Amino acid sequence: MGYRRYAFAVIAGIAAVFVLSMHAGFGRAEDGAAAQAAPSITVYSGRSRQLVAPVFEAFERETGIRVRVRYGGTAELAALLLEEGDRTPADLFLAQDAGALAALKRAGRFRPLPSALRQRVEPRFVSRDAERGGWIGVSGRARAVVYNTDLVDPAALPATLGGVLDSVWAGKVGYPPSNASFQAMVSAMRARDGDEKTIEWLRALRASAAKTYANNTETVRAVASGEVAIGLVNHYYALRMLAETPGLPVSNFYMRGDDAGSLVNIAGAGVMRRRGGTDATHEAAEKLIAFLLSEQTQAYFAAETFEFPLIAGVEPPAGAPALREVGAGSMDLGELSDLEGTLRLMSRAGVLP
Amino acid sequence: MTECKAHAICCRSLSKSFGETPVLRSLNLCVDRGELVCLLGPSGCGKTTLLRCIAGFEHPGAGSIQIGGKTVAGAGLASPVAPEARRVGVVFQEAALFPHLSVLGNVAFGLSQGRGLLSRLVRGPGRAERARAREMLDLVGLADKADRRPGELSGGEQQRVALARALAPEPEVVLLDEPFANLDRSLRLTLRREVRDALKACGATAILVTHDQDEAFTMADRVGVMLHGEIAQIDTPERIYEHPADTRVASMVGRGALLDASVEDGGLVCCGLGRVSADGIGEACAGAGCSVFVRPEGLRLNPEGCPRSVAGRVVRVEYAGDHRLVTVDIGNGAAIPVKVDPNLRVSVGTEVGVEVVGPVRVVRGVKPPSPVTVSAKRTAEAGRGDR
Amino acid sequence: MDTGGAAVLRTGESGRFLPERTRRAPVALVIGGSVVGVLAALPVVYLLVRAFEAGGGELFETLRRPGLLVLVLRTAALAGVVAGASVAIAFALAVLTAATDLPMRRLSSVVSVLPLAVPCYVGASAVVGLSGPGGVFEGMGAVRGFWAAAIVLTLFIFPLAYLPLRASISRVDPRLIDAARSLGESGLGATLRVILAWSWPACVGGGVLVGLYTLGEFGAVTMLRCDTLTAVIYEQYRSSFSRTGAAVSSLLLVVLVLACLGVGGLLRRRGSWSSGRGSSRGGVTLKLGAWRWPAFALVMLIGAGPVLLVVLTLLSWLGYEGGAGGVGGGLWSGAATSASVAIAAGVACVLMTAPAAVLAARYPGRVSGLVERAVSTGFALPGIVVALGLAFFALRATPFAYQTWGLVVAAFVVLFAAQSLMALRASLERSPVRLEEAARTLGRGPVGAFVGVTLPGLAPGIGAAWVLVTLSAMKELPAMLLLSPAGSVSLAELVWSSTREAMFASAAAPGLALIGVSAGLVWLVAMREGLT
Repeated sequence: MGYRRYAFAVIAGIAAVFVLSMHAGFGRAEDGAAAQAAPSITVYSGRSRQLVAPVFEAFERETGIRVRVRYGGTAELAALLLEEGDRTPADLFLAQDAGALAALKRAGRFRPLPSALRQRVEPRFVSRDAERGGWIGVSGRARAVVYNTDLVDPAALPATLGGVLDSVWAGKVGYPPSNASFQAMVSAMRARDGDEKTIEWLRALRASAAKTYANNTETVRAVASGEVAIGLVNHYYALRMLAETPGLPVSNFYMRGDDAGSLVNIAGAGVMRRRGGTDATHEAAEKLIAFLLSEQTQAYFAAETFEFPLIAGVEPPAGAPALREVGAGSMDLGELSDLEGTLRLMSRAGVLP
Repeated sequence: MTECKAHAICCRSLSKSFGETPVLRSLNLCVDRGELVCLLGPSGCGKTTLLRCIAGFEHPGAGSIQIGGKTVAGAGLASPVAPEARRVGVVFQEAALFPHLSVLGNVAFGLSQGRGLLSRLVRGPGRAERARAREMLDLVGLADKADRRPGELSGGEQQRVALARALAPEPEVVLLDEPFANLDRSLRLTLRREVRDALKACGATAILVTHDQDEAFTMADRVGVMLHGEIAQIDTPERIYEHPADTRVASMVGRGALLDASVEDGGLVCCGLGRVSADGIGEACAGAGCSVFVRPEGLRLNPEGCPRSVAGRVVRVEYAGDHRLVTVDIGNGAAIPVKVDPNLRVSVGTEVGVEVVGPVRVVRGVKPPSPVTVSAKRTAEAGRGDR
Repeated sequence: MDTGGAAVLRTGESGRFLPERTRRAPVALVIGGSVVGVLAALPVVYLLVRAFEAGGGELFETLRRPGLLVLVLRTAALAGVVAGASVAIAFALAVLTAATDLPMRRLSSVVSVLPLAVPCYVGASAVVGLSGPGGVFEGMGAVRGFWAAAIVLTLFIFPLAYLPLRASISRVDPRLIDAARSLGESGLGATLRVILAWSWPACVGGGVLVGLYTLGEFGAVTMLRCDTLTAVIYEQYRSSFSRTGAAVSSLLLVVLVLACLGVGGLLRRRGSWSSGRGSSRGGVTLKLGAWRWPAFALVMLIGAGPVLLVVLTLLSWLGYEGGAGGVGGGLWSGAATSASVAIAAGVACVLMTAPAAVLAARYPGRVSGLVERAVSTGFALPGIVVALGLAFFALRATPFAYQTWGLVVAAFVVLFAAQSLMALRASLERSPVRLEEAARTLGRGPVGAFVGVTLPGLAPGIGAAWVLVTLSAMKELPAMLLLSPAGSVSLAELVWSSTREAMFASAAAPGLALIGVSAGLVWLVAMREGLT
């Protein structure tokens, strides 16, 4: 048995060397101010590495500014940013949805955005009072009705969320109640129509034997397999699935009614207020936002994530109409931050546990 | 295969090897109903293996075992009967009580076989089982400790519980594997009596394995001396002591002097103690070599130069309270133990004479593989067992 | 209550070398043992701060949340079912591998621990993938809900119960089985009536550990759509951002942890026994006869089956377009980072829990009971709570340590000290206190006796503790994401961010790497275990 002890000791020794060899990592990550010549910034990214790492790399190449990224869930990172307050090491927060951005804005965590940036996108995709501190959208995520092209005549599709409750669709609707984008839609509904109408709609949806799924992907799959005829999802899932498996019998339909069914949410970013932040880091962070809103990055998002570009002059994702043809455009995304109220409402309506 | 209805246990031509090493060699053993047989032998002689074969924990390589007239291992059986179906009670050297059960629970453990497995697992003993367990605890004098945990009992108490546990299901036979080996001497003495009484009170058939001659002699109806995987001799303790079958048994049981001798006419033999009359010469012709054996109490110590004595020098004196054992060197390396009155003071180095007063026996000359002189420990223990 | 919590995570046989209660622990030991308890209690303090900062209103609002009772009951039921099923499987495998003539027992032992190499969220995402379109189980309908979560969790975490059970069963005195069989008990009956009773403390300890793990599990339960308290805590962080609701739910979880320990204490007391000597003669070997190979197949099926399924699924994903290239060079640095941090966490955890283990094994009392409860709470709290709690304190008290690997290691200590404590204590309880006393009589001071005698007693446990913690730290996600220095890459994060985007193809390579490195560690567990 002795040799095993020996092997164990050897492995432990190698392990220790391993640890020591990265002792640099145990030191405090250098602050942005350390390198004045080529500033480096820290980004908290709620968008995944697979998606945005190439963007950051391109930015580094182009500007010489180093970007250190912490990847995580948008919500977790938002919670962490709130916990950190102005002690945060983050210069920029890139979030997957507007709710988290709104919560941070309410807590006064964002720096003002220069008007040059603000004017790049439609005003509906910038937070109110962004000149005093706020966020800006970098890509658009529209609500859509995904339908099975074998089962459904597109002409018969409901034009509004109210139409979904029609008895024609009883038992044929799929939706992901625990999904953030669906909940954002319910938040929008509350902001527009009030809690009473929203809960009525949710209850009616439930009563119509609509089926629930874990997330958007599952919902689209269920539509593709014919388990349900239509699904209430974000637009890019069907586009992505079609790109992977051409010929799937699914397609998107965009509601144009003046209700939450036509909501266009965003993935967005904001510059953090932080101790130790300097003009150089602020400027670098703003440069990064500008880069995110550049034509090349917008085109990249459209191609990779099938999200809508927010700046003019960039083609919409394959298989989607232009952004102006999507959404009624009168929702304030800043009002979507009361997710907790939405969840409470949804569980009162019985669509969430 | 002869039926062996009369015996509680009957082992015939039992052989067993561990790898290349034979442990049991064509061993035969029959035990009557209600009889208590002690198997006496040095460690490594195969006595524990024999017990484990009878209990069913090991399977013999050849031969057969019958318990209560029913063959449980050997000829005519597709596979040996499982231990649980043999109706055999076992008491181990360490009591091996179930630490998670109370004393009563331990004794009642084997009484619940009528119930289903789940019921045995989940439910404690039923009323009848408890009553029987209490009865057994009464028998071993531990009724007042029924609710204790085994860990709270002394070693002796644990062994008594183990005995009660083994006896409770009224087994065909009880096997005791050196049950007192871990106890101190005084406890051992009382426990021997108690265990024998309990076994007799139940009318149980029992085999007790021990390397302690004292234990075997005080407890057994019959003693089997076991050597090298065989039973060298099985008989009453008296017969074993007085008429050892061969030199191995003689040197194993009790103390004494084992001497080379030659047969002479007229029932005499010539040995280191002179020309003496001996029993058991039988048909041996004059001039033939043999071994003779004499017990310490068959010798007398005389002053030096006494007639009919052989001269020697005292090399060791051991005081044992009721006697002294004096070892005398009579030349040729023969050290003769002589039992003398405790009041007789002799000192080492004294020249004395040794006279034969008791029987001298000719024993079958089976050479033990170890030297004739028995190990100090064994003779010391055996010396106490004089009777 | 003191006896309730104080002894639950013990898996060794109780009271074998029960020190007298009157003996007072050396002050240094009390302080040293309390450090890990204090550290583990920090997140709870944080939760209290957050829960009450907004006054009682929010607290009552959360407690009035509809469906809360159902949620708590479902969480408790899931923990109970997973713990029960895990102990049942673990007991069967432990008996087969430690107390029978199963073929290839060593291999069987390793295979029985193998599922630990698969993070639950990887297992769950494989199951989700398999039951989706194009998956093997497509026709079976969606594998979702309570029972799906229960089955998946059981299949991948039962080794937490297997390890202590195997250690315990391998020391059953074979004469107890002989005695039982001579008393008319069949092989199966003896196994259950004797071995189960003997290993009951280990059953309870392992079950509690599995139950605590289940309470804090997040990835698998959300993927399989079984909403538990932990899933809701994450949801609340996502939804409210005020952190108060999440803190209140987390405190509810702490209550569940204490309840879990309490139930464990009750179960333990029910079957406790106070004297038994471990076997020094090699343990029981039940004969399986014709069942040898079927039993071997069963062990392989339970141990290697799910792991194989996951690995094959990942391999098939690897074949998809972009599967291999998705992560690229990040994979190697991710693997190096994950392994280094996990190894360091293992070392730190062992060092910090060693005094606590000595305290608990030699001087059980109020302090050791509190430490155990704190450490158990840390084990069951969701990673995000621990991460935020440590961030909260680090930013205020030790800002220089924020954003360093040191804080990540501290979080892993909070999260996984329970496993280390359990393993260390079990091995201490097997080494007799008599030896220390003997050493003292031979003229050594308490420190000398400790170094000369107690530490060697700890040795077998140290390896097991280190490997268990390292393994867990490899797979841990939320604390790693939130506390590691920005810019670092870890395997768990690579897997997670791919599956989050449903880009299963790019999850394949890091997933396989994670399982590979973990399997290496599992091999070490098995080696260590063979040594004890």
